[in-house]
Amino acid sequence: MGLDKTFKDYANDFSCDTLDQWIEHLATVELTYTGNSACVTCGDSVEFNWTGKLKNGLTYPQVLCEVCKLQ
Amino acid sequence: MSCDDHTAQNDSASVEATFGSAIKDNAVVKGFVTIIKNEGKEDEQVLCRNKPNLLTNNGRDYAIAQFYTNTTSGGVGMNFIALTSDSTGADATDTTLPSEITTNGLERALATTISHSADTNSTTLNKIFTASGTHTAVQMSGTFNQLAVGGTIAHEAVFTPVTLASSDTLSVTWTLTLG
Repeated sequence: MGLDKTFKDYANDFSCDTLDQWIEHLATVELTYTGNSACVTCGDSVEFNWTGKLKNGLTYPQVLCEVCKLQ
Repeated sequence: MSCDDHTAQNDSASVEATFGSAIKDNAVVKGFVTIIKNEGKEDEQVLCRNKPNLLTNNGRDYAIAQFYTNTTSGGVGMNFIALTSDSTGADATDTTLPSEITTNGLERALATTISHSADTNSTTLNKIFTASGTHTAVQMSGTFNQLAVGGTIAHEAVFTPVTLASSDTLSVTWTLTLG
């Protein structure tokens, strides 16, 4: 049977209808997130390609820029 | 970088969300909107949390054009976020965001966070606006495909009206699913 709910994780054969369930799921599986975001420390724009389990209650990783990483 | 240590959501905040009757369950793109005033501060206020949004007719056509009917290069993503104090509500026939705010920190902006996870159908857009003047009864947001006023509107969502003073922030998060 295919994935028939609103949120779909094809790699892990999972789907759900609520964002809360989706966020719970993201905390349990490793996925690769790509995009850009503001550095949580300085606010500079950062391009990211990050793989891991998201346990921050969000649907995207919070990132640091290279300069802030070194501090 | 590790994300394991971050806990940014305040789950104890009050939630006020009204589920609109205009939601199109058969929309090719579905989405949820969370809007928080002064996130992370003592006076944090959740204006709506995970509220389904509306896909406009023009937004649906734009998506279809990107997928099926364009015969030249594609268009820019719907990743610009706009706000308004207009109280007429979200409407699938809207071609603009009525009375869109264009000043004092709440003008349309490119999402600061644009994130997609491979092998899923989920994408997140987030922008934290900082007011540089007073805004009264801000209550609707939309997404567009360009920075300047105009362009194509894809999504609209209404939230609890909120008044912002200078330096107040408004975090707008769209979590969108396609397919």
